[in-house]
Amino acid sequence: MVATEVRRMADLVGNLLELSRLQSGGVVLRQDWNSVVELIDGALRQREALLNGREIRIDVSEEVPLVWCDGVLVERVLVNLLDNVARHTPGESPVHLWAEGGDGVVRIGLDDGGRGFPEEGSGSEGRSTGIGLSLCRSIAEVHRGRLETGATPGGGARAVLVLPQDRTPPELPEDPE
Amino acid sequence: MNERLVLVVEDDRSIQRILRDVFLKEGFQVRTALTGRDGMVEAGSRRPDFIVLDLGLPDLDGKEFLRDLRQWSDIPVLVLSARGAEEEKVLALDAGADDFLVKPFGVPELLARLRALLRRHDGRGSRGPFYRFGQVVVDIPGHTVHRAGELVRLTSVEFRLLVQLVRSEGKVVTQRQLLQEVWGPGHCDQTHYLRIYMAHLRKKLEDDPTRPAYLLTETGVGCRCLAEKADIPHLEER
Repeated sequence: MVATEVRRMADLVGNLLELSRLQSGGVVLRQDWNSVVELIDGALRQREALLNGREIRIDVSEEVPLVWCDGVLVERVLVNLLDNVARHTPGESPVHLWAEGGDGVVRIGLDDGGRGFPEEGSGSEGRSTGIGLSLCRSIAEVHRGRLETGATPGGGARAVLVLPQDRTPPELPEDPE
Repeated sequence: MNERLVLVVEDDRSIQRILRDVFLKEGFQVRTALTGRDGMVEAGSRRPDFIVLDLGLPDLDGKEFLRDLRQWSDIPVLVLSARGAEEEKVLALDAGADDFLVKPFGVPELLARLRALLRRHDGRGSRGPFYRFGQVVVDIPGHTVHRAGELVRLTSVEFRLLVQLVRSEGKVVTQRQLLQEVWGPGHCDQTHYLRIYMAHLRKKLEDDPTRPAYLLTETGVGCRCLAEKADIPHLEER
């Protein structure tokens, strides 16, 4: 499909531009309070067509706190991880998105049924990584967080965005029913 | 929808050509402009039924175009923006754009957005007392919300937020606009209010609050509710 190729090229160029801006320190973070559920849903809506037909499971309990971050960039991380899933797993392979909070961080994870990521510095036995994942790592770093890649207990691939959770939102005003 | 006139203000000739072909095929009349100034002249002389405006014009900032246009016209405007330019989108919406689409976009989505814009514009001035989305009916004068015929209890803030969203009938309302209207001008930076209250509304009104079908957040921009005006309360299933 031409349209798919055009979109892929546009995404690649967009990722490259974003990566060079991040690495040159030319990005001003627009941080505010973000809901992990909304970021996940936003990313899934951006990649709806690409993920068509896959079983998508989301586990984000109400205890997961709001995250102080640049929501557009964090959503971009999730979009890139979803692209990675689409490229490296069979079309019917399920996707599991989850999040948990605690120990001063919020962890947003994506598991799939594909081959795991290559270990750092181990040559490239697993799936290929690329510009998309480099951008994910840079976005994590400008948030003073990190991107962890590895395998799920079941042998699939797992990517986890770890963001620091060092502030809590102010109290809400009174709101009677 | 036939015989409507659409004005495309876009400096990228290939995109302009694609848009032109799409609109002609849908039975619209089409005028095009490559610059903001030409676009303004076309808008003033041809009085189009709606405008598709690229935000990255060579001669004129898209927001300037919108501010000028809004001084004399309420023609619906759909802006086209680059991916990631969320700040631009917010400024454009605040300057008077009705909706936005991120490039590259699909033709069905473009046409769906335009149809929604035109519907909303045609019904303008007759702001409805009732709105519905999915199985939810919002009765604004009655201060009640029903879901599948059952009364849903909302707090006063939840109700005010919902009213702002449904009245925009699918159009994105910026975070700033929502915070200002619902909580007041001193609260425009309290974005956590919106995150928390959107979650409350989804929990009470969506079938699957983690994958909402109607109460959507556009990250970095604002929120929208895919609601439509309803003529009658539709509570007969109660």
